[in-house]
Amino acid sequence: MAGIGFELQKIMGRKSLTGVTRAGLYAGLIAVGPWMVSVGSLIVLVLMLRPRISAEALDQFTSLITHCYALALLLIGPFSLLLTRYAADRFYDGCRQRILGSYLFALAIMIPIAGGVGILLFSTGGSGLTALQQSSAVALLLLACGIFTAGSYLTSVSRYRWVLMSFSIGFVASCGFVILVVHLYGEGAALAGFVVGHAVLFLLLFWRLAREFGGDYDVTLDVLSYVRRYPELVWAGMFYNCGLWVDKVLFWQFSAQSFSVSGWIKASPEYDLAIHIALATMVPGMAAYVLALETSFATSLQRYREAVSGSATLHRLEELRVDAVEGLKSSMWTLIKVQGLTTLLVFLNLDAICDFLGIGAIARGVFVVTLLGCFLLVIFLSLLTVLFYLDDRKGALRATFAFFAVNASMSALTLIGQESYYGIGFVAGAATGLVVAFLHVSARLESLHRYLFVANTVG
Amino acid sequence: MELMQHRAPVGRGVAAHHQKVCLLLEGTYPYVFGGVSAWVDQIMHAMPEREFVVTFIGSRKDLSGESKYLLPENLTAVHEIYLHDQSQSKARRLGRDGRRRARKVIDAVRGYFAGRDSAMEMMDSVCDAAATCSLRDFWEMPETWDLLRDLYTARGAVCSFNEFYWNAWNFAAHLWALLGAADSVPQAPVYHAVCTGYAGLLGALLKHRRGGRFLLSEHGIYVKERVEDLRTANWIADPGERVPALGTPHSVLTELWMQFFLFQAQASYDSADQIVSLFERNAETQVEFGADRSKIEIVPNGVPTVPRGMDVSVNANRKVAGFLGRIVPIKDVKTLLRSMSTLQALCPAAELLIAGPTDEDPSYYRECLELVESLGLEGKVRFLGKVAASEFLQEIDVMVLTSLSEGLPFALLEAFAEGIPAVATDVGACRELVDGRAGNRSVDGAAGIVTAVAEPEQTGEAIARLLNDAELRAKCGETGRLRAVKDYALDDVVSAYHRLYDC
Repeated sequence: MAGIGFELQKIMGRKSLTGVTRAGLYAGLIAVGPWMVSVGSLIVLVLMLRPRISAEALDQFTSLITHCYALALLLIGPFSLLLTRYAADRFYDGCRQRILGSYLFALAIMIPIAGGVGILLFSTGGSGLTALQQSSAVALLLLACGIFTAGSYLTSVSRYRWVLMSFSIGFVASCGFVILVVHLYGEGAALAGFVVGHAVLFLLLFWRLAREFGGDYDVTLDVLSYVRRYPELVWAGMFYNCGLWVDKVLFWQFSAQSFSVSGWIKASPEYDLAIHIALATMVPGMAAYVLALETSFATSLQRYREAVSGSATLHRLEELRVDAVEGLKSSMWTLIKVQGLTTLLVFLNLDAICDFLGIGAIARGVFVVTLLGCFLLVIFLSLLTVLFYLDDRKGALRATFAFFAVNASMSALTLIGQESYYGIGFVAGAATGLVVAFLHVSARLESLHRYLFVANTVG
Repeated sequence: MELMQHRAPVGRGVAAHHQKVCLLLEGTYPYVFGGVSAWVDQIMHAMPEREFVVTFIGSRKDLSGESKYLLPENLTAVHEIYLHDQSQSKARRLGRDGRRRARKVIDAVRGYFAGRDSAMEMMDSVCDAAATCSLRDFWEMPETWDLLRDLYTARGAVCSFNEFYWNAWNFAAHLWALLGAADSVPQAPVYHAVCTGYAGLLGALLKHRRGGRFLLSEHGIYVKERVEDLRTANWIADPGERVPALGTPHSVLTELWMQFFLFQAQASYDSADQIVSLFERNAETQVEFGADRSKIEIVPNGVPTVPRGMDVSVNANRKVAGFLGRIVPIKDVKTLLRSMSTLQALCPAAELLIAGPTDEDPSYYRECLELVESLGLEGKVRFLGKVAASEFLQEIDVMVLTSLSEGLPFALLEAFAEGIPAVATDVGACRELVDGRAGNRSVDGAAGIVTAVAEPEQTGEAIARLLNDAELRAKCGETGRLRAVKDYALDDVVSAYHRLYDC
């Protein structure tokens, strides 16, 4: 008699488990990479240009660049995580011919939006900006969008070395062109030189994308389906970038310390520089962390994942899970040690650094507070990376939202009330984001087996 | 418990002289050949005045293929349920209410596994709660995970957790698919499941939800047949299970499956108003698996018989043995083929005709053909494919069955009705049929020879004895014919079922 009890089992079988995404690992890099690049290059440019051009022109130059970067990050923020996830997924599922198509599609959407926003902001607010500066600013905004996105794509498919090389060449070129055009055409052309250098950077990145994924690529719009599938990534990307910038924007717009560079574009150069230096201190910690994560956490998690899809007993899975947790803990300790040491060194040499860079007494207070904020931000970011890695998109969304909301509200409060406490908003935002992210990481790691199995069954 | 009460529908036996019957069939009629399908076809044709509807439970629609039978006029609907329903995992979440009900399901399952509740008590709670709680609600509960972990640990925690998990998920998914489909089953005053398994479980569910009469017939014993399947199953990939299992014949996963099939059987037996068994030995097995003996009635399979005198003409010169059935491993056609060397040694003129559909297990059929070749039996053995039984029976002198498992085979009944003696292995009701029914033996004497399973020499010798001895053949043939008329007349079976349906 033909009972179907086993026929069913044969059809159903078991599924392979997914859910620990490789794309997640790069989220941290992607989140912090462009930011670091902008910070580092600005510091170098300030030091190089200071003897060459007037203080007003330098303020204008740096604040235009900062605004372009900030705008670009805010504009691509909602899409960067999504696109990165898409690129990594296609890279690992073998549909690589779709990667370039999705990048071009993203550009096609971004160019009119960023162009429109750029033209609106830089030409309407533009008292004091020459036509060359206005068009350079718009061009830089567009290039920054293209560069950050291309950088994310290449990072998500592990082309770190090329990204690093392109950014290095691009920034050396940018600095070189700036010095050259300032020498040839005067300080008003500085931004145009910067744009030429960035065009080089963009072309380097684009060339790599086109070379690697250009062979009969498909232009499919299935990247759009990711918006529906992973709405949390859109929001998390947006909140994260807004969280990074909200206190700065508020400060520029409402602080008595800031002044108009041209029209609506405001700056507070001393503060900006202090914040930039503080952010630059994140580089050693982040680098050490990513390295440690790649070697210990990622490999033990990979072993765990193989065991989960294989024939291990629950007891063995538990051992491997504990291994992974230990790996993460040790990575976190490495991060905290390296970052702590860096922060401490900067703190101990505070006066020497501030004197060298010309940071005044009031900004020094902000510097110290922001230094602490950056220490927390690195840890927050590293936990966020783990959340993306474990595909806890809801957790990432909550953590980034907390970061943004607390930073925005506290910064607004300090600006209305006691301005000397400015910077507290950033610290509080990073601390809140850290706590929320930590709680989600612990919860997810605690019930990792359950999460992986159940999410793959009914997720 | 209310479910187990024998409830009588109002007005029964007055207005509804011939109650409409909803047959619950799992993987059989009308899409698969076999004993149960043949019985369903036979009983519906034999009750033209009664309306039938069929609920077919299958795994996946695209595996069903074409209907294998010409549907009779009194069969008014064929309803299909497919349990491989992937929409289960995408079901809508029902929020807090869903979780509250999911907790009840978890409690019920825990109660069952702890031995506090019976299978039917669990089903009671599960189907109440599950009606308003999606499988997704249930599966996403942390408590469900704890339950799985505990069940895994309680079984020694030695097998691959991955395998354990997916098996558990499949049990749940199929149960929920069945629960979800239960409401779509056509209404009828009588539900008749023709096995336990999913069909029996569906009957239990319908009885619980709709009331009415639930009749359960078993041709084979579902649980036992699944044990056979388990023994040969190579899909239970369990490479992690390397722990020595001295004294424990089953692995953790087979144990789990056994428990599932037993659960289905218990729920079916508990809920059924009456249980029908084909023969005494099966009834005993049913009791072993938890059926209440007082609910069991023996109704054998039947064969249409034309009363006639002693006109069984034995063709003394012809020496043809025949097999009638599907060419599948459970029929062990290979043993039959191997018996030919013994048979040929004792009866050189003997031939073997093999009739029955070959498309159910094409690779087995191919192996049989290869065996014929390697044994050098071409010209002595012929495969006829699917033929009309009545014509086939004109061609043979002895009916042979070498099955590993049987219910009450129609092949023997049909042969007996034509006065053809039989050689059959000692499985199912074969001994009862060949040697006479135990207990109330109305026709004495042998209608053939019973042999051991997988013993080609014995089978060959037995066939040779009958083929070489025309007198014995005639005597056995006549005994068989009388037995078919007296003990296995279709008319008796039909009136028994009329009574069971309408009582």
